[in-house]
Amino acid sequence: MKHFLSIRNVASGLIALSLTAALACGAPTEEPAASSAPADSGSSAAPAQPAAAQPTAMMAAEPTATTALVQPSGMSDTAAGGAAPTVAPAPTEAPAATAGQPVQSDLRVAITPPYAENLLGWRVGGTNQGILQPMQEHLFQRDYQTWEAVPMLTTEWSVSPDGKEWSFNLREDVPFHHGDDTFGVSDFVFSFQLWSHPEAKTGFGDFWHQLLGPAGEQRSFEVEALGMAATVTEVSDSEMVWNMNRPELWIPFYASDATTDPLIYSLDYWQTNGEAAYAQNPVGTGPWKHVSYEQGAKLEYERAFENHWRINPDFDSLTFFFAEEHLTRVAMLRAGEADIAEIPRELQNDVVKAGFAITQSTLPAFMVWVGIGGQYLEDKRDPNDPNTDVLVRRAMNHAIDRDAINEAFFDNKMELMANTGWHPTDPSFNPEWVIPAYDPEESRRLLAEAGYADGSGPSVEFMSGKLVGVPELTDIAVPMVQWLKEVGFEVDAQIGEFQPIRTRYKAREMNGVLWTHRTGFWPAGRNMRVYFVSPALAGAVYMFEDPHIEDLFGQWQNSVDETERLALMKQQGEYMYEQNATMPLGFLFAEFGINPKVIAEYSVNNSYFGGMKGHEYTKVVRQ
Amino acid sequence: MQRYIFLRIIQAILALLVISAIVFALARVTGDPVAILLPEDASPKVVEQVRAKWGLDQPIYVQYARYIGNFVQGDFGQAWAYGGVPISELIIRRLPNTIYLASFAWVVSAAIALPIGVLVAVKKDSPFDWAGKVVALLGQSAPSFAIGLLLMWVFAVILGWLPTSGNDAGFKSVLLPGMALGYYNVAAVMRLTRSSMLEVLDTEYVKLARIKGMPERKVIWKHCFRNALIVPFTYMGLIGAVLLTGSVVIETVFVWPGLGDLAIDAIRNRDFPVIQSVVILFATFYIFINLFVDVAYAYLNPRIRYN
Repeated sequence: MKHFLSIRNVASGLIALSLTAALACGAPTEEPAASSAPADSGSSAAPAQPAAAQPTAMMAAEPTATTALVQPSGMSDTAAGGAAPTVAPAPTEAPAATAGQPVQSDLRVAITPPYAENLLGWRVGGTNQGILQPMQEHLFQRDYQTWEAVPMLTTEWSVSPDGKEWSFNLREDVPFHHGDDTFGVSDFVFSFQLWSHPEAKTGFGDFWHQLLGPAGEQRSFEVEALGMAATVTEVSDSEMVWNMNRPELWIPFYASDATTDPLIYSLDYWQTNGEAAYAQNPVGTGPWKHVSYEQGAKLEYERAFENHWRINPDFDSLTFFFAEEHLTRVAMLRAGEADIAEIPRELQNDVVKAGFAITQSTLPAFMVWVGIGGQYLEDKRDPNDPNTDVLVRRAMNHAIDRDAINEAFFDNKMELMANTGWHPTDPSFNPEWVIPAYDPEESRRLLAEAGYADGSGPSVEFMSGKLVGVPELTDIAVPMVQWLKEVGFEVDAQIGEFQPIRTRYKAREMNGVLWTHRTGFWPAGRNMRVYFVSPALAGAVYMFEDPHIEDLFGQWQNSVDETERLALMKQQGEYMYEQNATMPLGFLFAEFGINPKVIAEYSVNNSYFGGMKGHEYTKVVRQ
Repeated sequence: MQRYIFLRIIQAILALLVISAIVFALARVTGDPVAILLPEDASPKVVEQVRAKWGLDQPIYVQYARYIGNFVQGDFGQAWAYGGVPISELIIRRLPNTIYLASFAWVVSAAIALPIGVLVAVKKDSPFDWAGKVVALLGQSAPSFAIGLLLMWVFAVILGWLPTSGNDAGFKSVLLPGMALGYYNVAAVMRLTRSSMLEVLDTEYVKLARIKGMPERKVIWKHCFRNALIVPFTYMGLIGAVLLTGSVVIETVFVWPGLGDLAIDAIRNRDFPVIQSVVILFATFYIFINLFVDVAYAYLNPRIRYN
C-alpha cells in the first residue's frame, strides 16, 4: 500500500507538473496590438460601409506652423495650408420618436478578450483600451470615414513656427460621469502623467515623456507629482500652452483616439477615490458610463447623459462580452445573444448564409510583412550575414508568391503591399512602387549575382510566431519557407510562438533571420520610428538600421516644415523600397459579423481596436 | 492512521514546494514578462524601472524565496497584467465559479455513469450493455470542448433553450459547461461501476440472497451496489480534482469566469505571479483531494489499513 500511495503521489505530482508545463509552455506571446478581426468573403449583404479600397487621406496631421494662436488647420495634406478652422461635431439630436421604436435598447458586442484586461486605461495595450473608449474621450478624434483628425475635447489649437509651443482651447462645460466635475486643464495635466507613466502600456509613454516630461529625468511612478508637467502652462481652466522639449507637428494625431494613449481622466475623481476606484468604476466624459465589469466575461455601459455634448447613442446600453473561442462568438451571434461579433475569416461565409452580415472596416486593420533581420548599424552588423546584401533581399522578394498566399490564406482579401509601412493613402506613398513579382528564375539569377551560383544558397533562419489578429502568420510561413528553398536558400524554419522572436529582435540579435510580423494600420512616420530606426532614434524593433535612414528620419523628426517633412518621408520610402528592406506582404481589413435585424448601421474605421470603439455611432433598426 | 495522515501532509507540502519551484522556473523560461508588461517601443530605461519595481532585476533564487515567503503568509502578490490587483482577490472572485462548475460536472458524471454502470452490469451482453458502452465511449473519445460546442450549438443556437455562454443566467448557465465537463468522465466511471458490479454479482452472498428469494431490486441496489461503489467512489474522488483543475478549456469555451479562464489569461499575459498562484492552487487541490480519497477509502473499506 505504501508503494501504491507513493506512486499515486508521484502520479499526482506528475499530473500537476504536466499541467504546469502545459500552462507555462503554451503561452502565446503578443505584442500590444490589435484584436482579431479577420476578413471575409466580401459577398456579404453588409450594410453600407465606405469602400475599403477607396483611399482616404490617412496621416497628414501636420498643422500649419503659425506664430500665434490661430485657427487649426485641417488634418489632411490637402487642407494643410488652409486656415479654416476645423469645426467640432455638433451634438446629435436624440432619436426622434417619429423614426420608429428601436427593436432593442441594449447593444451587445462579442469580442476576443483584451490582453491585460483591466479598466486602467494607461496600463493596457492598444486593443484593450478600446473597451474604455465608449466612456472616455480624447483631445482629438479621427473621423471614422476619412481618418482625418477632428476636435474632441479641444476646440482650437495652434503651433509656433518652431513646432515646440502648442496652444489649446479646451471644450468648456464637459461633465465627467461622477457629479459636478467638469473637464479642464488640470485633468489634462493629470492625464498626461498617466500617459507617460513608466508602465503605460499603449506604446507612447516615452513619446509623451520626451515631449512634455521634465528633461533629463526618468518617467515617474508618482502620478500626482504635478511638477512633471511643468511644460504645461495653464492660461485658464480651458486654455493651456505646451512648451515641448522638442518639435512635434503630429500632436492632433498622437493626442487622438488613433494612438489609444491619450484618454482624458478626472483628477478630481482620482484624488477623491484613488486609483482603485478607476480600476473598479472608472469615469470619463464619453457618451457611455460604466455600469459593471466582470473580468473575463463582460463589461457593461449605459447612456451617460440625456444630451451628450458630442453624440447621443441610439442604444441605451452597451455590453461587451469577452469570448476567446471563435465558435462561441459565432454561436452568440447566431443565438441572438450578440448583435456584433468578431468572426474569423473561415467562418464568415457560414454566418452570411445564416442571414447575418459581414461589415468591413473603412481602412485596413493590419499590416503584414516579413522582416529581414541583421540589417543593423556597425555595432551589431555581421558582414557575413547574407541578409545585409541587397541582392539577396531582392532575391527573397522574388521568391515568394504573394498572390498564392492571398488566395490560399486570405480569400484574396489582402491588399498587397509594395513597400512595408506605406499604404496608398499615405501622403508619402509613391504610386510607382510595384509589388515584387513571383519570379523564381529572377530570384536564382540574383542569388548567382550575389555569389551563390553553385546552388549552395545563403543560409537563413525563418521564424514565425502566433500573433493575435492574424492567426494565419504561422500558416503562411510554411509555403514561404518552401519557396525560398526552391530558389536555393538553405532555410532553418522555426514556427511556433512569437516570444523567442521578440526576445531576439529586442536584443538586436536577428542576424540571418527572417520573421513574419504584423502591426496595426499606422502612418509611415510611425512605422519608421517603431520598426526601421536604431535605438538612438527610439526605435523598437530594429528591423532596418541604416545610416542614411537614420539621417533622414532624424531630419524628419526635427523638421517643422510640412513640405520638407513630406519630402523627407518620401525619401525614406524610396530608400526602403530600393533597398528591399523587408519582404512586404499586405494589408488586412477588420470585419465583423452583425445582426441586420438589430443593427442598421455600424461604421468601424481601421480596427486596431477590434469592435470596441465608436458604438455611439452604431444605429439601431427601428420599427 | 493519524501518523499516516501526518506523513501524507508532509509529503504534500514537499510536493507543493517542488511544484512551486518548477512552476517558478518554467514560467520564466517562457520569456521576459516585461516584454508583455510594456509596449514594444518601451525604452531600456523604462524596462529597467519596471523590472526593478517588480523585483525582476533580482537573481531568480531571491525572487523565489521572496515569493514563497509571501505565499506562506497568504500574500500571493499582485497581478501585473490586471493593474496590480491582489491575486487573492482574483482567486476569491473566481474560485466559487470553478467549484460550482466542477461540482455540477461531478454530479453529471455520477448521475449518468452510475445508473448506466449498474444497468449494463445487470444486463450484461444485452443491447443495453452495448448501448451503454456506446454512450460512455462517446464521452471518452470526444474532447470535452467538442462536446461543449456541440451542446452549445444544439441547445443554444438551434433550440434556443439555454444560453451559449457566461454565468449570468442562473442555473441555466451551468448546464452546458457542466454537462460538457462531466460527460468526459462518464465512460471511466461507468466501466468501473460495471466491472465492480459484475464482481459483486458473482459473489456467494449475492447468490445466497437470490436463493433466499430476496427481490432482485433489493439484491442489486442494497447488497451489490453499495459494495460495488468503493472502486468508482475512489475514482470519483480523483475526478473531483480533475474537474477542478481540468476546466480550463471548458471555461474558455463557455466564457465561464473561473480559475481556468484566469490561468489562460495569465499565461497569455505572462503574468507570472498569477500563473504560479493558480497552478499551485490546482496542485493543492489535486494533492489534498487525493489524500482525502485515500483516507475516506480506508473508512469505507474496513479491510484496508494504512500503517
